[in-house]
Amino acid sequence: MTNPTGPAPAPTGTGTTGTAEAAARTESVSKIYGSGDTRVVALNEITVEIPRGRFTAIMGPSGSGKSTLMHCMAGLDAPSSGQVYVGEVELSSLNEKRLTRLRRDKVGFVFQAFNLVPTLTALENISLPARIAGRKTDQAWLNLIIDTVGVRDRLGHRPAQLSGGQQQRVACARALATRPEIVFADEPTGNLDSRAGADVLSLLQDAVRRASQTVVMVTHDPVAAGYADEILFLADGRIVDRMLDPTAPNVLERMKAFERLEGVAP
Amino acid sequence: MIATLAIRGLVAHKPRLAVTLVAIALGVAFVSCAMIFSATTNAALDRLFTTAGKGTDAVVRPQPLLVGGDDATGNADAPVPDSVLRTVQGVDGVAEVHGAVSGFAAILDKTGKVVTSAQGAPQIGVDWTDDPDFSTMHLRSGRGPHGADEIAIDVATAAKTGYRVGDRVPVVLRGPSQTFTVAGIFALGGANSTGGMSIVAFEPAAAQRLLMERQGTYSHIDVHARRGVSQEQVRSAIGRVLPAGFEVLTGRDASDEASADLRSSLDIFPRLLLWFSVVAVFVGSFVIVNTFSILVAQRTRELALLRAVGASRRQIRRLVLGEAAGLGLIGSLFGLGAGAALAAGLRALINSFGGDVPRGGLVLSTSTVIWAFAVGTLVTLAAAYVPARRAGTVPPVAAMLDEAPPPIRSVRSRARAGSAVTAAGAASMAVAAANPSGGSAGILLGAGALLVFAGVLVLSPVLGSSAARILGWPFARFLGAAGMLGRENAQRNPRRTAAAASALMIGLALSGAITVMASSVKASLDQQLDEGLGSDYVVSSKTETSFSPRALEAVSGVRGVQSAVPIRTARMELDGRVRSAAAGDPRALAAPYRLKMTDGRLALAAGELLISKHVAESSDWAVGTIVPARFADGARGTLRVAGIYADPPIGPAIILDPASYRAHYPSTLINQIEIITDPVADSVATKQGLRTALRAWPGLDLQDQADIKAAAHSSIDEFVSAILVLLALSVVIAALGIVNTLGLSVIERTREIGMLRAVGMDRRQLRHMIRYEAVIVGAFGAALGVGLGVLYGSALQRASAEDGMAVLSIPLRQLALYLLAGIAIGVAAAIWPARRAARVRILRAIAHE
Repeated sequence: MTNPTGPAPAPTGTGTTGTAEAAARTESVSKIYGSGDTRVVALNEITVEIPRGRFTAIMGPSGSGKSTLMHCMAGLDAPSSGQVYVGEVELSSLNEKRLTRLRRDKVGFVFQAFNLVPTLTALENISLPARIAGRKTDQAWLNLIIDTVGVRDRLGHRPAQLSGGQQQRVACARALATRPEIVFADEPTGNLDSRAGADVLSLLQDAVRRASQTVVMVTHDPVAAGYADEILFLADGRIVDRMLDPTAPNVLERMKAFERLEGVAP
Repeated sequence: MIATLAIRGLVAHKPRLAVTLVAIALGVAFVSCAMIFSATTNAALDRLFTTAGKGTDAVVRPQPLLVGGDDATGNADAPVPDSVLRTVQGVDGVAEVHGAVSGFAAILDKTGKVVTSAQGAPQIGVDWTDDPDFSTMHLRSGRGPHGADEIAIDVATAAKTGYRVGDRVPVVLRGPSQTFTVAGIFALGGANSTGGMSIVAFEPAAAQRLLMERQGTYSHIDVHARRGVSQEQVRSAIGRVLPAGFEVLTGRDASDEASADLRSSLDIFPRLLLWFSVVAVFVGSFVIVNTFSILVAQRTRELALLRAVGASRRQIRRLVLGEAAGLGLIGSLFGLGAGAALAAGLRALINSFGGDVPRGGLVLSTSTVIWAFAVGTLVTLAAAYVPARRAGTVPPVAAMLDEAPPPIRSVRSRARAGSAVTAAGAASMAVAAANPSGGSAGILLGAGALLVFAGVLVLSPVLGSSAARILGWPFARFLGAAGMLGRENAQRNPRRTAAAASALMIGLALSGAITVMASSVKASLDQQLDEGLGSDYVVSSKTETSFSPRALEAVSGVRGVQSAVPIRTARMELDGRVRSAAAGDPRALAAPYRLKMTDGRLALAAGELLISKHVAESSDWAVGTIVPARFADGARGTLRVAGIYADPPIGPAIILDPASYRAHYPSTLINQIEIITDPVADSVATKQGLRTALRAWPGLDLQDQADIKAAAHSSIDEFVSAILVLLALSVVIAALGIVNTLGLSVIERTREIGMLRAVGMDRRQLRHMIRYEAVIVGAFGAALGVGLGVLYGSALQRASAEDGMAVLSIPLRQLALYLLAGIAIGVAAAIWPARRAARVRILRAIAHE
């Protein structure tokens, strides 16, 4: 199974230049809330590139701006300045309708609170984005996804009849079912115990490794971040560090280092 | 503390409660509109009548012999002779007497039509007097009528027709119309209103000649007492010398009686309104129940927290009821204001349709205010009681749990109970319909209808989920994700769907039943006319009064008329019961009414009766039975049953021989003429001839069978549309209920809606989703309502099959329109919730911080 829209993944180093290989990227993106005394800079001139076919984690303490960065990259929130690209499309040039279509066709979401439609079965939830688009689902791809997330025996169940881990796996399948350019996962293990969390993380990893998907995950959990190919560390609205091929102990160590350097920009 | 929480709760949920507030206010508005309208017109009528007849201390009039007399223009059959006037004049304590004359006299407007009023008030002619002791008539312009050629007309009629002093005005009396010159325009007391009557005043001698059949008689005698003699004293003094057949009453009683007559004609509006406000309030209570149920469900966590920190069940219950009371009070206040505006609007509306509701400031009585607040607050409290109890049962531990799904109550026991109640009701209705003449049929029918209604209410949540599945199928099948989600949402909370739909069901069930009834009445009437009316034309008075036999002469002479049969109605007491009979030669009556004898012969000698089979059976009379009788002139006698005829679909139940009629009924006036034309004559020419012959009689109507049908249909349709307009209010309230339910659901599903937006649903699709849900709710309510309506209508038809509603007619096209209306209501009700859903901010909806 290969990604039809992109070449084979290539690990990038410091990757600050825009290339066609990026699934998404930002150029000097800032997000500022309020003004005067209440002015808060959530994102401060961030330029970053999410390489295609890779599993990227965004880490940082609360208030570091990691969720805001993700929302801006996913077209859920508009930056105060700077540009966001998904593929080659610049988001600020899109109107509401086109933005919705972009989310529908090019972006997948996994939320902390699962956010499945309670009235629909697991299968209906998975095929929901395709139905919204009024498109037929690619049956072979759908089967692959269902097997990857391992919910085949639960397809006829409604969310209330599924465990938290099963619900989140269904949510992952929904995000992957449209074969999006990029999947954003917002604390996907936040509401799960460690075993169910590990299941979800491995399946996201599998989706990247085996099905060449691109996944961006926001988390504050070093164990979760350990599943990623690369970690971007955020603090005070800036990218302060990155780490390739992380492991959980490494991540933890780096986090501790940050806490000692609190407030000091690199 | 609880009070503070309740007030804070009201303020916090302001937007969620707004729609409910409107529903309460609408119901209260209708109640207070009815009461304000009634109080206002009563006050105006009081002013009219306390000034009216101030100087009249006593009234002498013929004693009504056959109670239930329907001659609205005075007892022309038995007037007061001059001898009685002279007797009264001689009574001690009487200062002055006035022999008053009144009778039918209708003004024609400038287009030649009789001036009528919306409430059907009479057209009367009187003798002119400006003696303030006897009449409140006083001139506004011109002068009183002098001579036979002049009249004065009332100011309301003058305003309506545009006639002014000096105009030549045609007036219909019992005979052909005559033209008079308007000499003056008068008012009654200080009012500009006559309560809908049109009044023509003639010079006294002319009035006698034109209005009374016999000279030297009066309709009644007004008496003015000497100074220092009270009304009661003069009444008893006259009573002592009055010959039999006459009665005397005080001026006050007489004017009360007159005002009561008018009042009851105006009272129809507020009474109808009150009935419909009951329906509206009832429908509104569904909206309230649903709102509070949803609010309690949404606030489970908050209520549990209060319980966890020590609030008792009772305090929680009181908290919810306190909010309900506050909402009810505010709703009542708005409703009262809206009611006053509605009352003013209603008066303007009635007057614009040719009614004459007296003007005057709106009267807001204390009792109106009390009722408005009582209805608004108590209904809200009662409706909130069950949700409040449920709120009390929220366990404290719910504060710690994640959003708990609402407990699913046993559907099976609900289905069982609902089915049992519905079946019992249906059985009761079936028994009543099968045996309509049974004494308890009415009770069985009513109780059955209520039971079916209650059963359907209980069942509706059970039905709701399958109905939503079935009704929603085409949406899910053909309308993509929005259709699928809309259908699922409609099934999601069957109780909510059912409550919203039930509110709609009530109004549509009543509309449906009335529509089926009206259609059946029309079909039955058509059938009766087809089977029972043998005449080709009927001549009758437009104002339902009797008219001069000269009209008969006019039509009899028309070429092509084979026979013209006058119908005279004789009211009499037969064996102690007042009945109406047609008087005339039975051989003449046989053709127009297609009489078929079952016993005896088709002929009457003096002192004989023919009766219909129904009368024979219900009174247990047979041919040869001697029946004791009392006639309109007071004479007693006996009548012999000479024959029995099959029940005619149209036509008299009793026929009196012409000789007895002539002996006991001095009036020669006729009520109707039945015309049979010569089958070989040119029908167009005959009709034209009849029209020409009646040109001098603008007060008379010439109708063929089709005209009769059309007239009956249009009056039924008018009545039905008036009722449908009033029922529309309850449908509007039900629509508000759907708006509210959907709006609250949208708030509840904010997160879900945000997610749908995040995964690519656009605003249009989201609006469609909400709209489809609303349409399913609307269609469900409409289907239930129309179904119940057809059931009720058919049962009523069956139960009254023997009372002239023999044919059941179900107007499918109109009922289909009601279903479409349900769908349209769904679409309209979805507008605001759909907009609200489309406005949901994705980030706020999915953010978990």
